[in-house]
Amino acid sequence: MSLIRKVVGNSLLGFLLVVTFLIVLFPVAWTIMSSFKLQVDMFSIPPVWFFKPTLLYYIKIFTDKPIFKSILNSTVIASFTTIISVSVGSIAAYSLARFKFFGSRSLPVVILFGQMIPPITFIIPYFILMRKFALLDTHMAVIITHTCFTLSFVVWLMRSFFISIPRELEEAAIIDGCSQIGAFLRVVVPLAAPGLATTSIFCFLYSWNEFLYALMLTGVKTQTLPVVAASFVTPIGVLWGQLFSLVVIVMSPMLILGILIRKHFVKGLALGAVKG
Amino acid sequence: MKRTVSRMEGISSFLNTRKLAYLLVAPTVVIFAAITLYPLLYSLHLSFFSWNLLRPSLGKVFIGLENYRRIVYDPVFWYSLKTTLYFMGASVALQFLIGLGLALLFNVEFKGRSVARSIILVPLLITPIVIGLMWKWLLNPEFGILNYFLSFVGVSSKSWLGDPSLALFTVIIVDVWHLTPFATLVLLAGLQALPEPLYEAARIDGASWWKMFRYITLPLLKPVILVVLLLRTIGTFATFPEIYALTQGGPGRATEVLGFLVYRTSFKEFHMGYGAALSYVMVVLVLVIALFYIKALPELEV
Repeated sequence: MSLIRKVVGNSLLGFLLVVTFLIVLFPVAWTIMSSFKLQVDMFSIPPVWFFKPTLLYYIKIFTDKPIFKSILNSTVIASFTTIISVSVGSIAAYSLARFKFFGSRSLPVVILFGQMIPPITFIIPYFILMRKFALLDTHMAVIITHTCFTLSFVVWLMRSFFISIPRELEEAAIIDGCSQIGAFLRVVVPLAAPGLATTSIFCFLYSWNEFLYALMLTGVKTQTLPVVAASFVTPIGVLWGQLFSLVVIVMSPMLILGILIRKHFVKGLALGAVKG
Repeated sequence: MKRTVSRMEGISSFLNTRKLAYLLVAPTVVIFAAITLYPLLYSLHLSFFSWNLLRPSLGKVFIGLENYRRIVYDPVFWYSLKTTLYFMGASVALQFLIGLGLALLFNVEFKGRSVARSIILVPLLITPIVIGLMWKWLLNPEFGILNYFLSFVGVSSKSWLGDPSLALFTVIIVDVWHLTPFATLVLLAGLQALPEPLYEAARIDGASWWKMFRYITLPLLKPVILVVLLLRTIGTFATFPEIYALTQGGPGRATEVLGFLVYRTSFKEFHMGYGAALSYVMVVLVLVIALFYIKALPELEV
């Protein structure tokens, strides 16, 4: 009796898992597959499952559009956003995790409110202010807007990592003759390294994927990859072939980075790291 | 002896510590004030003006609360609010229910569970605009593969995004595909933190699966559930790229959520003042929900 139940239970479990994975992975896999197809095969219904892969559209996007430049733009913007917000935010997070002072309880909450406000609210003043300060179509404009979100996120995530490092370790280092800063650099930073790495990857991920700010603030010189992807939707139709190959280029590094931090992913999620 | 020395140092370093504490926070406070508070206040200021960038000759005219009065009498706003609430309710409910189901499924021990959890992560890592564009293709009425698959189960070909009565539903489904993993992963982490002895005791007492779920899992999971619901509710206000890619708010205004209405008002019609006022309505709604979230956060112990 219980054996039958177990078999039924297991096969039901297996079935549900397979269905879930199909729903999750098929759209992605199908897009990646199609990026190696010729236009004829891309749109044929019934779909073509077996075909001779071609790199035609990969070559086409690199020759038709300044994709190298966009990859560079995306990388520069995401890197600077990450470096600035992680370095500035994590020292604040350390202070908030270790010391009690006027504002040490309310500051994180105020910062968190800022993070919750929808980006569409920010883009109106940003657009006008960037125009006023002649920052439209510069990397800096986008870095500033991305830091607005990532900074508060870094403060919260790093604070939770710092809290989990026992204070006694630092105190021991100080008793042994380390200065406060020495103890921070030699004891806390190495222990917080996985946290720092996770936080950095989250920041990079956010900045790399962000669309609205990049759409409104970049121009010919500074277009990021998501903006280029959207630009393949033209008034006369969608350039699907080019779009698919770009999608693969945009998506792959993020899939790898995300899998790398899967252990701490939930912590980041619960603190709002992934925006709708 | 050593103890007294460290105590003395402790007192003198106490004052320094305070200075250090402020010093470490200072850069964040300054940057936060400059790039978060300042734009927000500037936007509030804008919301009291009439200012159309397409007609610079009219300039920026102070009109007090007129923009807000206009919002109250604007049928487009009310329609958009209704769309937003519908989108929010359906999307968050589906993400939560499917997410909880999947979390319970993944909580069962099986081979390759960690691989399975990595797979479920995938939609969260993909660029949102790409998700929109990808689904635009899958849902295409002529060459999209979804209609092809559905034809096997006898569903006739549909124009998922072109039909005003279907478009909002379709956008919700794409959003659910994108963000259900969020609910799944957070709820799963919550489930795994639940104390096993409680279940053992319940099993010894002969409790059924449903009873354990209803009287142990759900009550203990409450803070996590709350965080998922609140974060996703706030998150739906930020939904922009998918709608930009899928429908541009259309057909007609069928999928024009508040975020998109603000975008259209500010960057298609260039009514900066009215757009800012509309966006402040969103700010108020978000802040109310955020208050609940912040209250729930300490219980979560993240």
